[in-house]
Amino acid sequence: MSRPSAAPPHLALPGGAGLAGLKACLPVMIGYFPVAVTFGIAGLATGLSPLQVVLISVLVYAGASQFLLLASIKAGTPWLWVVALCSLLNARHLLYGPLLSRFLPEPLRARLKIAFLLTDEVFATAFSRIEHVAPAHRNRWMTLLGLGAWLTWIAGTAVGVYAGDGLERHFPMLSQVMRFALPALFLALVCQSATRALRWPIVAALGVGAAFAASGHTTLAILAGAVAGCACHRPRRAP
Amino acid sequence: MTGGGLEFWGAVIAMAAITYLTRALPFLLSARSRLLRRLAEGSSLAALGPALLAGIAAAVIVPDVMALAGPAQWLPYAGGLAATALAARRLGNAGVAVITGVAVYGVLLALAGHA
Repeated sequence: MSRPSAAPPHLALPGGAGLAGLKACLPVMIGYFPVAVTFGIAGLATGLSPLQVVLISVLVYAGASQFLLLASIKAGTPWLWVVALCSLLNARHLLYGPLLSRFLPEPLRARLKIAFLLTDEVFATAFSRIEHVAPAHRNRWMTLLGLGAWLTWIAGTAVGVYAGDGLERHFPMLSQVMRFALPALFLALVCQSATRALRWPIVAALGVGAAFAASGHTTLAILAGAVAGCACHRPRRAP
Repeated sequence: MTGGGLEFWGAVIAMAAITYLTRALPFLLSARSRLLRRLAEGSSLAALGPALLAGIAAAVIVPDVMALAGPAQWLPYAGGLAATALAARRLGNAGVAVITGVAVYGVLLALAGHA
């Protein structure tokens, strides 16, 4: 992969870097909004208050975990089990830091702020673009990228909570179409992570997960899929 | 678990803390980050993230598919998924892939409704 010798002019200025961070965030924002609206609608349907639903998006800020929480409330799953599943779901985030670390500003405080905003999509966007940003402006670029995604997630949840009912009533087809954003998002993430080395683990995880989900065990499907995927993976050995 | 009371807020706070810790821990363990990088590149843990995503995708998509009734519903769904997968592989951007998939699903659903 070729590396640019210098940052493009618009990324060399602090303001330009912030704007470029927001620009890089745009596809993430467009992808997040309908999913967040769906979360808002689904949260209300679970029996939570509007404030509870919005606060979940503000505090947890992890799509898969948030939907897991709703499904668990619906199914009456014990909260310890929910928290354990959430830990497993988020274990993949442990891998993002080491991969992104060399591009991020040195001060720990700045890194810990960025960490809160480090979702799958923000990581993927940052990992593919941050090297083109001048090192001095990476903090600003990354912060704006992360903040744009987080605020969109909160705004989308609020729209789902406060206007979702009206959307459902007046535009039933639009609501149905927007709900497709969630399966589409996970499929897109799977497709993006499917490198040659991970092809069979992903196929195994999909197959085992689908079998469990088809038999009505959706929570177990996630775990069983993950176990099957890891079991199928043959790491390359160093020569 | 129910939707109210201390149990609910306890779960939300625990989930928020765990989510943040999994994102922040690698930066706190900078001295040991080589170990985490080795784990990311050379062990079964490297497959954990993608395998989890695949498991979640199956858990989200399969119940949807099982609830579909007739070609007027499953054709748009299949078309939307195919468009999403294609866009994700070709464009390498999850956001754009989601928009493409949702747009194709919407158009096919509208066409199926008018057929």
